[in-house]
Amino acid sequence: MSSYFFSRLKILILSLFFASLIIFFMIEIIPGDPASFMLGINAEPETVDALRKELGLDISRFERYFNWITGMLIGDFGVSYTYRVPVSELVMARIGVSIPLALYAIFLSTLIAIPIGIFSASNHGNFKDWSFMGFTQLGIAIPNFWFAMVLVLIFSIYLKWFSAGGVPGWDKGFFINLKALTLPAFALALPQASILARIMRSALIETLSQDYFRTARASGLTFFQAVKKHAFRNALIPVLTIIGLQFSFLIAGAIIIENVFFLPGIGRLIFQGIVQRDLIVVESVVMLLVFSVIIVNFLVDMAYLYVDPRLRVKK
Amino acid sequence: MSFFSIKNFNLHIREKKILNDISFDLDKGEVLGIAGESGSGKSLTALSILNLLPNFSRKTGFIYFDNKCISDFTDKDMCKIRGKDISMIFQEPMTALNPLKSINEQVAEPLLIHSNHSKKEALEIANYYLEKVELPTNLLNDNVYPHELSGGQQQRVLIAKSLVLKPRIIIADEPTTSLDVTTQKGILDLLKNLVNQDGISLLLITHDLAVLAQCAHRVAIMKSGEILEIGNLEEIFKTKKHPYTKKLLNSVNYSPPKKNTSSKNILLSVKSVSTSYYNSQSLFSTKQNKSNILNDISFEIYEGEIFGVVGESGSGKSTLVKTILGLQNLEKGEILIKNKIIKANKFDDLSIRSMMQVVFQDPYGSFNPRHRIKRLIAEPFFLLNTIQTKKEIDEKVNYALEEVGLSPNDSYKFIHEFSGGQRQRIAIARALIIKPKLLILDEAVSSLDVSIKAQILDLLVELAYRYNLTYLFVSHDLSVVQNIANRVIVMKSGEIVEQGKAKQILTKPKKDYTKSLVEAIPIISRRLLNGGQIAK
Repeated sequence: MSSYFFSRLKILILSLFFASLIIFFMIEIIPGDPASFMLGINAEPETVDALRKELGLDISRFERYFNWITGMLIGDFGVSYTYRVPVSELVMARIGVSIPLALYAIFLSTLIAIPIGIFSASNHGNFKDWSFMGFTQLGIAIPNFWFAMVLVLIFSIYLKWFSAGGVPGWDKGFFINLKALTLPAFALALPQASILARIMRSALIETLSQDYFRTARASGLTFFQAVKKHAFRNALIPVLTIIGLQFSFLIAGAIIIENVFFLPGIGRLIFQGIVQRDLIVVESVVMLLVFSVIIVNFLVDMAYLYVDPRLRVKK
Repeated sequence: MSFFSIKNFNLHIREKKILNDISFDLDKGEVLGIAGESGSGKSLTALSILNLLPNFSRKTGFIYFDNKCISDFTDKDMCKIRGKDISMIFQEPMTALNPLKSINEQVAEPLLIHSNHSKKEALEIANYYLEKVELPTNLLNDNVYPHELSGGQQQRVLIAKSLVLKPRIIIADEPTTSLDVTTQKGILDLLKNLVNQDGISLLLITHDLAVLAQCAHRVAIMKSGEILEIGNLEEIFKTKKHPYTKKLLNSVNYSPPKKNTSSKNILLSVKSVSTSYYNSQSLFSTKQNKSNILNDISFEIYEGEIFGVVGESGSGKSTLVKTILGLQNLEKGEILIKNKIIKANKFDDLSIRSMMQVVFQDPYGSFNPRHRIKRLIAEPFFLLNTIQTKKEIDEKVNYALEEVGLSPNDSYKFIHEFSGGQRQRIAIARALIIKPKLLILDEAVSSLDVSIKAQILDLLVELAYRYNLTYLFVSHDLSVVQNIANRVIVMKSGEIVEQGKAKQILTKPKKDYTKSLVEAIPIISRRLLNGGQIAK
């Protein structure tokens, strides 16, 4: 157990280090100087230089990288060039929307996908399987912003069950926010659930043809007992991988849905940061996203350990 | 009426007739062997009894158990019989256990389903049976998982699982086919004891008639979904009434005419070769676990001889083949072919490589399914420096196909159009097309049915004569090596235990290890085959 844990931990730290290098220098080579951008094209060179000094852009790249990294380690993400507030403040305000939204979407997607996957796999090859797989095909094909608009049209405009956008803020209570996030989470969850259901189905079909499933049936388990006790956990391994990848995608990839529902999320923050050449915001938020992706994958790796005894090394 | 019988049972899968009018009885405490080659419907007969048939199957006929017609039972009713009254052991122990559950949990499972035992009681009973099937005591703890066991031990776990509810019938489908001879003997002895002690009836399905000769009371011979004959073991084996039975029995321990043309010129010499695997714990870890695979192996192969390598799985046979082919780095020692050093993973000297070719075990996995036979067979031509014209290549491919008993028309087909035996012929054609000096046969006949095995052995010996070929014949099947090889080495955990003339070593072994191997070979005694004329 411990050797697996430490080997994953090493990979985690190394990935973070290389990611930070790549992010920093990628953004360095993007054309456009924040100071001249902020002051407009008619600014005097002296004023631009002064602003550069103020923003800390006059020192060497390596020094800036070092300051950035060490600052992040103690929670100091720098000060946004355009908003003139600490980046950590900007992020904290938005993370309160993005992470609950991603978690909610993953929850919905798993809740929809796993039963569909199991149902389709158990009816492998017949009409029920086929029609459910047709629906998932549709779920992947429909653009989620369009689906989001349809949801708004039905549930907000006609039925008036949900508001069409925005979040009240967590100080107003848990359920009222959950309700506000339901439509966007559902819009996000649909394509994810479709993919996940397909993965669940094919993984389960494969385990159903395994010898141990036949052994389980031969020792008197009914089909569903055998699925529950033997096939499901074996099929879960690829499903976990996909859930991990989807979670990372949902934190950052929700830009469009955030726009449709007027949600102040991380996706929108990055987008604004790029448009306004607010490099420090972009760098820090991207780094934070990388961090969350790597952490989630680390957690998925640890979940394998729980699922698969072959990874637990005995001493 | 017997307590179990099948009457006029037919099975269709997707409108294809699989089983045709199968009828037999099984008595209490009886071992009924079902023998036949692959595709004869043995396994589907077994699965029909438990009603675990694949989708799209349609059956007619009756299966009676305990005066009830179980072939009419619903799946729910069958679940009450499966594992409780009739249990089953499968061929591949490595995959028949759930890798994610501990072994005692899996053995205890039938108890939890069929009886009212608490989980603790069930685990206790499971451990009792695991002990009974002679699993080593260090594996009797909780949290032992299948991957920690050897194949033989896994099969013991499966037997324990099939026993926990004291079933009345055990169906064993090729229970020892994927195991070594010594392990096979242990498993068969265990099954025999269980039948004798507890009066369990055993339906033993196998392609190996020698295995049946060891333990069956009665045998049924199956071919293409039909039972050709059924009766007492001695009667069937002695009278050989049906021509197919005769053919099968003649193919067992088939011995092709021996080749005795080896010269004194050394073709291949392996000089104190050692190699080992390192498995590092992680990317930057300095700790590495070294495990010796080959340890100081030396031998020489003379031109024109058939040189056998035998040993149980894990003895290093396959690694030896890889080192000779230059696919694995050596740690110490060197390998020379015609006095030229074989360097691992260096492809600079094609002339060395063109001197040796290989035929592997699995005729299904050793071909690219998207290429035509012509291209597959012509593959080794790149090893030759001489430029071949298209016409020359075509001629040679056609000639090679004829040589291995196929037709030139086959060169435009794809590999899936051929049977296992034909594929192995194609593999041989591919290996021989550039006229190598040394042909390495790595378990080349191990996965073939007995009658096809005999044909391929004949072909190999004939080709060896015609082109004065040298073979390195690697096999876990001692009876085959005994019959075909001139000299042999016996390997155990990466070392040579014994070497010398094949006949001498495999009939009068000196070392204990070789003795145990030889004793474990299942043989049909001459008394059985010849009606008692010659004592064994």
